[in-house]
Amino acid sequence: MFKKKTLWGLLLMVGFILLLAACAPEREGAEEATGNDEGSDGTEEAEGTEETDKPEELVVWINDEDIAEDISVELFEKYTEETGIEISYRRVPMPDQVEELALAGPTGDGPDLFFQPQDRLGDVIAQGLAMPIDYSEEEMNGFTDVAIDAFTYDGDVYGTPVAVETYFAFYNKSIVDSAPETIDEVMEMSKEVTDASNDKYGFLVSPEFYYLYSFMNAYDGYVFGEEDGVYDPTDIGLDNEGSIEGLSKYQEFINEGLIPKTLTVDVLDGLFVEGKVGMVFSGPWNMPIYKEALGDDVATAPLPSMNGEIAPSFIGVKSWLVSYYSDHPKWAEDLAKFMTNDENSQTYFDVTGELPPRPEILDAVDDPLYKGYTEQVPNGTPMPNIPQMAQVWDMDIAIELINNGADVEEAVTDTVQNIKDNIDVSGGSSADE
Amino acid sequence: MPQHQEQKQLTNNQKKFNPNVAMVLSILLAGLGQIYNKRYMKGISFIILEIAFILATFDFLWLGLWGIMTLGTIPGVDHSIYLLVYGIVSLIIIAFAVTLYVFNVRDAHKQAILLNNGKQPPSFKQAIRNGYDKAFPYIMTAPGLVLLIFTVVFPLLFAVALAFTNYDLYNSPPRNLVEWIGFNNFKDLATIPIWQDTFISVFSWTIIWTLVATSFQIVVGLVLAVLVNDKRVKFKKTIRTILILPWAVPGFVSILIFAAMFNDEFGAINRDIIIPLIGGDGLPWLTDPTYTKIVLIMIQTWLGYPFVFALFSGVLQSVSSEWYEAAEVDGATRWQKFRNITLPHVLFATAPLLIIQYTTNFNNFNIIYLFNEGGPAVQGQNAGGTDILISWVYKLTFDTNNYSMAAAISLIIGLIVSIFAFFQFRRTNSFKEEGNI
Amino acid sequence: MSPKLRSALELTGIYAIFAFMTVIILYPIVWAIGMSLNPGQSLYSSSIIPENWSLEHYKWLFTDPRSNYVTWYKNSMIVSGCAALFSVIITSVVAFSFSRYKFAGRTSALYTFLILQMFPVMMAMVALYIFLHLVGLLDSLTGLILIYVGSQIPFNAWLVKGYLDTIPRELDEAARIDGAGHFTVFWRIVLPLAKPILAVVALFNFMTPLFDFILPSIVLNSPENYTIALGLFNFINDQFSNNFTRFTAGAILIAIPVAVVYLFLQRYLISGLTAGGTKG
Repeated sequence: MFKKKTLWGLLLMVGFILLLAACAPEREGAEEATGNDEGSDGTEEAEGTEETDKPEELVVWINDEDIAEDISVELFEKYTEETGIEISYRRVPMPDQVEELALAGPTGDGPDLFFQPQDRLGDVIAQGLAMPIDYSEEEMNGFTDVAIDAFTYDGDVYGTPVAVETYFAFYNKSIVDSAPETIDEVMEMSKEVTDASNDKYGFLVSPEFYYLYSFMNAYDGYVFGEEDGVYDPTDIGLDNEGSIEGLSKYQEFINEGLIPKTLTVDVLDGLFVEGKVGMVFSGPWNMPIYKEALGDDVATAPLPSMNGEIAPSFIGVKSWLVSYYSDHPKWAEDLAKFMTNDENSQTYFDVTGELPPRPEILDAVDDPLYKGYTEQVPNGTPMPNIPQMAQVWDMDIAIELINNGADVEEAVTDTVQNIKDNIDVSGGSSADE
Repeated sequence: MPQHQEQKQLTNNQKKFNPNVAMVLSILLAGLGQIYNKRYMKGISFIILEIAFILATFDFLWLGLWGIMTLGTIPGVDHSIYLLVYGIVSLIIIAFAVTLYVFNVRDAHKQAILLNNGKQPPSFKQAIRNGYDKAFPYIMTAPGLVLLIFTVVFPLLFAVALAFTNYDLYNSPPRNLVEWIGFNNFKDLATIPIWQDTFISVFSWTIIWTLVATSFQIVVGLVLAVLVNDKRVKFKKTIRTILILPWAVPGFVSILIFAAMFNDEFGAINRDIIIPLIGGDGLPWLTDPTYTKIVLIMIQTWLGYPFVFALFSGVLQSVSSEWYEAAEVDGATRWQKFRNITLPHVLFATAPLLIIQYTTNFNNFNIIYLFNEGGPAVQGQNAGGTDILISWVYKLTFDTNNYSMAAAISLIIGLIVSIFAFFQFRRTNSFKEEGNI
Repeated sequence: MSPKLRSALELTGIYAIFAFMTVIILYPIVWAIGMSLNPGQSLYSSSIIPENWSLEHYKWLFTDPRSNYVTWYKNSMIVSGCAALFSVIITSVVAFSFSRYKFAGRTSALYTFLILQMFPVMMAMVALYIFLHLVGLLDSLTGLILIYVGSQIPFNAWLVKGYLDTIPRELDEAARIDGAGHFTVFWRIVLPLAKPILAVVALFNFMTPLFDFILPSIVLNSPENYTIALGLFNFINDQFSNNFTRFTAGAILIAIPVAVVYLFLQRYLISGLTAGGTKG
């Protein structure tokens, strides 16, 4: 008797709860969005009147590096002077920023501006975490086309490009007089110089897809097929004949014992800095470090030629992005544009040594150490910016296998099949952009 | 009604308080039943509490309940994951409220019966005193319980809920909404080859890892404990101190140091030990899955045996020497004494903690991830060669944002471990019951 | 072979095993100390006995304006200290109730929670994040402490309950007859006798937060709120500035005091653990 009635009471309650759950409660922003279906794809335009209200403060997430802090603080102070808007910043490691923004954005703890390379743009857009930037024709022309393309997605530009990054050859003049020009010359030089038991190497490249893409791309391997700037995630060319040929070339270095199997970036840097390596592939982030350790012995060159031309390299563009959750997107955009104008880009270059993708500045660089950098940039291929790129990094697996002596064709074919499967199971092949 | 009741109050053996009426009243509104029972103070405070509760939480509960049902309807405005969390919090709050409500109904019912049986309603002070006696264990455990619910049960509910959604990179707020998709994740896991293959290979290594690594640390701990316990051994204290040292060093520090030491080309193990002593190029500790597995088991033994050692040392000291003496009289060999006295005693006494050792290792994320991030890579699966289920889940969550699949796999892991633990606990428990009573 | 010789041989064998174990135990530790004294940053140019050893990494931790090491240390002490203190309070109270009273859920509650905790809830960190935001404890040490205190309850309450069960009930009953209330019995009679196991609980709950970097990495946002494990982990986790030697220096400075406390408390550790864990 008692039980039954309690049960009845509970049922009543459940019914009430269901009733409650059936109709939507009022919530902030719901009306705007229902009134404007276009707004639902994350590209909501902010109302002008609201935006002219100057915020007191903007929040920026910078990369977790000392040098990033140095330069940012300098530019922030300048901006505060000009506009009176205070900037508060936090160091967040670049690879963690997207994830943290997804968490912190909705709570209001997110930034107005954050910092990302274009290969993560796809992830950012898929989750709708960034807002497009409004450029005038003139502003747009201030950047190189590659940089703007790298941050264009479905016709919208999502960032203000800060630096263009790629890798090129560094060589130690006390070991090799000049950079070998073809990959075959590299091989010869390497055979001469390498003495693995004493940690002495002629040529080292970190066994990562990022660097080894050069070998593949040089022989017409590609990541995603591309037509009119739109990538096709179902067409992957990393297991075609060219890719295999290129990687076989690389594997010779391993087989000959010229590159140690478990090389990592840390080891590579460590050895080069100690003056034990003739030539390495590395990027601008290492220029000051190498320079400090080796002085005038360091020189740079574009990558050696493979298949008859200077080997292509992945080009990454780093950029400021306006958070979807920003309360002051117009001002955030203003700050982003401010930090990437010619004057401040020059400052950025002076402090960090990374090249801003602005023609004016690129043309004016005359430091001989930048020879490799500036010459490599026109030979690079931008990293695809669609989210399916995330799975493509699994190519590192193929490279690990190749390092361990697997057959190149087998390793590449299997891995690419896996990448395709993984894109499928993560919903990436059906997700129409 | 109340007047009617009062008139009859003089005649004793009549039903003055109908328990059912009290109950129905208290269902309608908490406290009404108590007032009917003439417990005015109690009744009024119940009513106030209930109204305050409704006023304070109504909006939140509404949003939460609607949120968990729909996971939002307008992309960009509704954040599905936040709504899901609100929904779970709402359900927990409601569960608390319902518990109190049931208590209120039962209280009204019981009081009415007591009154009918001629018991005087206790004075307010007395009631509080009685209540304190009866409620003492509840009051004492309540803060702990609330904390537990929010730190253990709440995340678990969230994880369970996620397993039935399609939350991944392409269905992420704010751009898109997350939807309920029923058992689809589990279906995919069972039918799509790459999921299936990976799951099976990761699962089998997880089992081997758990059994071998844990058993090793138990055996090493046991052997050392027995040796130190030997009557002839001197400097027992110093030896114990040294043997316990790996436990005292922070685990994540040790693992990272080991990872550096085992680096194939540049680590101390190959450079300073293997190559000078054996020659060759050293062993592929980090690049060959088999070697990595062996190293992982050795490191886990290093990390884990001191706990078992400390535990066994304590238990061994409690084994009565009379048993051994009796055995010696019977002419038992040392092995027989160990086999028949020491071992059963030690294992029996520590069984629950040993079970926990096994379940901990099953989910030992730190060592797998920090040592080699689950690597080296192997072909044909989307997990590394030494990934155990939990580190695979981590990768799915944080590397590929495949939250819902990670949740589904977690759920399976949890079920396996808990079923194992449940039966083991029950077994050891029932032994105990016999022993104690 | 005479029994005496045999015994001597055996004993030598036993000592040989201990010597072997000592080497295995000490080698990585000594190696790490050696690393921390190497001047460079990279692990690979370093050796166990540095050619030109220096304290530069230690100096950096304490003096460099960019180093938050001292703050992290302080934060960790706060988090670990509070977690240990509140864990002991809550756990002993819960365990006391479970050991001495009959109430709904008494028999199965602890085991249920113990088992529920075996479900991995890594992806639910997101949920904890949102929840902490909801109650306004995000990026605060308080929120972190609450989570640690809550999630340790099942195992430790089970441990302490096992220990309390070995304390004879006659003691409580005698006190009751003398007019002691529930709380007095708990505070005056049971608690003092449970000291060894409470020391174990305190130690466990001091250590867990000290060495955990996963939860803090989700809950804490600002570097000035980092705990030491998270801070140290970032030294080596950082993509471009992998700093192994600095990491070892920082790790050693935290590992040494911890090891000393551990070894100092090992008597309690062994006796408390044995009594608590075996009678549960």
